[in-house]
Amino acid sequence: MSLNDPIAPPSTLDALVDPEALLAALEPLWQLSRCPLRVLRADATVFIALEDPCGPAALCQYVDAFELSRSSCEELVALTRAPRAQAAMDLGEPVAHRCFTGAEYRASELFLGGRSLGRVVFGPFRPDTEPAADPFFAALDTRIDAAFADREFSRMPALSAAQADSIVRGTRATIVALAAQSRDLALLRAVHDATQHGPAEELVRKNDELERANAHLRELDRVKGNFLATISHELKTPLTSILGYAEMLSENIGGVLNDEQRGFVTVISDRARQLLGMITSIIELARMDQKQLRAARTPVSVGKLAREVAATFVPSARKKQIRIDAEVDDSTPSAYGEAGYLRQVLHNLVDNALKFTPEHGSVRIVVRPTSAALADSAEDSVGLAVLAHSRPCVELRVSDTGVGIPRGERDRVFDAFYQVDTGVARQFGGAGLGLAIVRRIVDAIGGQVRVEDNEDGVGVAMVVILPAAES
Amino acid sequence: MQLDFRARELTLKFVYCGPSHAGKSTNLRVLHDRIAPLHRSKIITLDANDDGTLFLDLLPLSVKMGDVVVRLNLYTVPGKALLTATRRLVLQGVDGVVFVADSRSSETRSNAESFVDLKQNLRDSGRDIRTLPLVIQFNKRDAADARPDSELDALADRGSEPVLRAIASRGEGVSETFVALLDVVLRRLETAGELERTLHVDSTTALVSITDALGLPTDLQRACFGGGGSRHT
Repeated sequence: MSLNDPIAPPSTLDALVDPEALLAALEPLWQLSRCPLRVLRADATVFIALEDPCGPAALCQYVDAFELSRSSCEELVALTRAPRAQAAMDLGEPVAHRCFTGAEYRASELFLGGRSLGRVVFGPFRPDTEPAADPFFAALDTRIDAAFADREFSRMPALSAAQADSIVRGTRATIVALAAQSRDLALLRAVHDATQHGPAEELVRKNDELERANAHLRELDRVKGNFLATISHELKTPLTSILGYAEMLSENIGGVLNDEQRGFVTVISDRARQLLGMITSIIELARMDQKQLRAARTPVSVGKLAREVAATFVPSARKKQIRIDAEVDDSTPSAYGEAGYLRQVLHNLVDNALKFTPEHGSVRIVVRPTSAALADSAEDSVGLAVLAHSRPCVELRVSDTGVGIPRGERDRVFDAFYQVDTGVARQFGGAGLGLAIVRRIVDAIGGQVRVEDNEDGVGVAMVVILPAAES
Repeated sequence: MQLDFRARELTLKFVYCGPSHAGKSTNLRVLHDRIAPLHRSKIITLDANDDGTLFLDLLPLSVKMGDVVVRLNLYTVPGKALLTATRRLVLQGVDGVVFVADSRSSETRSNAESFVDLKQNLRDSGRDIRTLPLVIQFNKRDAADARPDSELDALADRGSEPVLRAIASRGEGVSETFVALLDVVLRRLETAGELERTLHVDSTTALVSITDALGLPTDLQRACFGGGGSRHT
């Protein structure tokens, strides 16, 4: 449940209209007929009343003298005062109510901003088309003197329906105008007060909150750092020993090994190295959730990095007789990022490409300028359509002639531990972390990464778009 | 959301945000002209003596659903960069936001700045834009240097909220934007169990009742960028 609205406009007559000022404003209108004019609140209680100081009309007093007519009169008055069902907003057209004596009332709802403030009730008055009281009145009680009723009825102020409607409309317009002005002033005051006095107090409060949150974050950071260091140490130490002793065995330090024994030791070394790689990746992935990844954004030459990384992979590519090339368009601008992390992106992409490319295939790294709609920071996808705008970018494309990735799975390959097909994973090794790390880094830099078909027809291309550094 | 059990009233607050002169007040004026007087009040405008809206516009709408009156208060916030305090005030207690962006390429930066300001103002009020119902409207699609549809289609698909096209000065896309936000807000209330508790209906029924009463369309597909608005076919 959200907070209440601090600038919800006031919506009661008492909050919006000064009764004395309203009495003064309505007096001249009332003098036109001197028939009772009442303004009621939304709960049907009387807000103001303009009535003849001599009291109600003689006919009304006569009606009160008989039980049946008195109770009928009370019912009618209650009806005129009852709120109208939610039927109209800002309309409030006068509604006629006819008394059993032949006299009439007019009632009109006071709508402001879609809410009823209350209503205007005008009457009783004598419709100018009715010279005598309704015979229904005299029929209510044998004691009622019909001639007296007719005489007093004819003495009531006579008004045409149009006159009565105008008085009610005029009254309604006066009240609504006063209330609207006062509501707008109240709104302005709310805005003014809150914007003048609110911010200073709020600033102090926010500052306290921020300090507390900061202390909490620092503590969390420390705990996480400790955890990572411990895990890293506890997992890596035994593996280092395993690798070390396996190496000593293979170098015959513990005695000469036969061919079968040497084969066993090689398997131990290979699997241990694989495990070490996975642990390093997991720790790296966990570290990347920390904020420092976001901070570093300096101009980096992706072309230079691409050539360096390609060179480091030449020996392993040669082993599988795979061709590896780096093509760099010299007009490519520098990208925003951090050299260490971008190198890791390249390393993971090329490593992946080599892993899934069969012998005699090829891996191509292409770096070229492009333009794309990127956001200034990639905090999340909310508001991307507004935050992102077309800007110069660097495209880094690593394509292979490997087994490919089915279209339906191209988004999921960036999820941690995801492997397209477990059979493939077993054949080629790996934990499905390389691309997850790539995605984390690219997201943090504010870039994009996606899978496309290889332009050469076979295999896939991993395409990374990085924001260009402003020249 | 404000619920007055005694008066059987449910009040929702929608705020139109965006840079100066993007068309926030025009959106409200178009809705005002389109909706029958039975369901809407006059627009309350608190303005200064010079250009544009200084403080705010407020358009109150109301619809009766069963025995509950659903009130929808539509506010605009001042687009001017200086009036942060007023913007923050108007955003308090907000149930949904329409971000009105200016389609012109030249306004791309001011759109982004205004959106960042919105995020900050919400954060200052203890709200998170990621959990607040939001729709984005790209207004002034008829401008000569409007950003191309293809670019906005692609961004809408990558983003997480509905993105709609509009030419508010001609009344195009305004109703659709409002209905899109109403839809997101109702679905959010449904998930939180509030809709069942207050109106005893699901979000689809509530949406159809309200849009029918107000005479607004529920087919948003044509006004949405990307693959958005798929619920309304």
